Amino acid sequence: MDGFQKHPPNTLEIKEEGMYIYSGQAGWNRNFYSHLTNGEIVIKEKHSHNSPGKKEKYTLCNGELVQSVEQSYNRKTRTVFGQFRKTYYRGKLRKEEYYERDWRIKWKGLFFREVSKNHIIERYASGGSISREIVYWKNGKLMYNLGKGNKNIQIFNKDGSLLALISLDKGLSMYSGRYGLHLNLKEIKRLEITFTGEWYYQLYDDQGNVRSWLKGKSLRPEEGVKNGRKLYFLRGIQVPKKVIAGNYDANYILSYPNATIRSEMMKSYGIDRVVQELQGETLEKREEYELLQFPIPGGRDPDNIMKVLKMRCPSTKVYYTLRIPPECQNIHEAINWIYGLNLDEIRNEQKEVKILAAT
Amino acid sequence: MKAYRQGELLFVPQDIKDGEGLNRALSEGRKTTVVAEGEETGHKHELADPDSAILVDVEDEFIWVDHQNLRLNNFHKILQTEKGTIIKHPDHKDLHLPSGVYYIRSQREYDEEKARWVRD
Repeated sequence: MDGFQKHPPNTLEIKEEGMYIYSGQAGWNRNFYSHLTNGEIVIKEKHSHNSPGKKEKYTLCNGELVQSVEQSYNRKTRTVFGQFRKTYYRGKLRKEEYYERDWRIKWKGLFFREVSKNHIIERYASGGSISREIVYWKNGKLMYNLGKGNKNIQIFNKDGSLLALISLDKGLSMYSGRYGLHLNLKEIKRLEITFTGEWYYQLYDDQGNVRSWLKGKSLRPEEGVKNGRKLYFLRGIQVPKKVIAGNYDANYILSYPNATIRSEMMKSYGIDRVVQELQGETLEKREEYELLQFPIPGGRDPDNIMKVLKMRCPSTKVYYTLRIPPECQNIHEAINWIYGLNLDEIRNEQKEVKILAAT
Repeated sequence: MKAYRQGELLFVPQDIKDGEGLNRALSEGRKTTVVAEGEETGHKHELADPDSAILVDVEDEFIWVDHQNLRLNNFHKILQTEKGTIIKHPDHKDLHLPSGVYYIRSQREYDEEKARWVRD
């Protein structure tokens, strides 16, 4: 049996209401097609040696499907169409979902309640959208009560003591169908959670003292302290203090494992200084150009080599250096890439930039 | 591709077929006299005589001319001059551009994450 088909709604011509039940997989001359208005349909799957089989029961009333009960293994789901769906696990109620007739979440009030391993989530609606999430510990103590648009959020421990305080400049966006909690406790404890807008949160220890906090903007942490130790960030990535202080040399930059940080340090240190400090290998040299390469111990192929084009400005006679893709094989490719052509255009289409005048 | 160059800037002469598209780009784009601001030195590349050319900024615009999107090709300005113009910069000699239409882009530099375009 592969499904049910709701009869088209009443029209002037069709007075009859109801539903057709048909099979599609039984084989030629064996399929059935029956009309139903009231009653129950029970579908039982065969028991097998490792499965108790699935059981489904559908109740029809005046041609409308009003209720379904699906049972498999230790899970049972009861749906009263247009009202609620309740899920039981080993006979215990685990999840409740409440709906309007059109399957949208309940217009007002509790629309979702779930009992999970460590906590109980309750979600409430106002005007058809989520307005509040309340989370309790299994012992009944409040973990947090998060209302839509709340800018100051308190999170509590199992014993009722304060665990964290979060301040946001704009409310947290909430989603009715979100899987899991809107505030992830593990991420908060590890100082890993970030928010949009400007934000700050602090964690309390057993004695109620703040020993860790984090502050940031637009999903990027900017400053923080973890267990009394200051944390440093660059472009939202945690870095050692020396990176922020600029206390490093060219060797350190090229050995740094993170490409974003390596590139940030390179920009602030200056590629010219890196080239001056490290004796790179000259790949080609002609007129005012020199193509150099440097190994990057921390880089991932092809970025385990840094290539630069050193050139002299025709007006100022000053040398300057530009980093080029490691794939560039010679000065010709390097110059044309810098002018905006792609390596594919340079190599396969023989495109090149002819400079008519340069100052 | 032929081009004129002043420092990190490239002026690429264009043979425009879609005159209507160009006029729309010139009238809708932000008019300016500065070809490029100096990010590090503060020195600007600019029109020596603002009346000698129309210069528009297309950096934030999604403009197509001759089936070519300027931003996608990393052009940030359009320059149109009827009698020719001069681009000046304190650190460079004057660049003389003959009459015509030019798209302007900067030299680029490789970044492991993304290629970025140079501004001196």
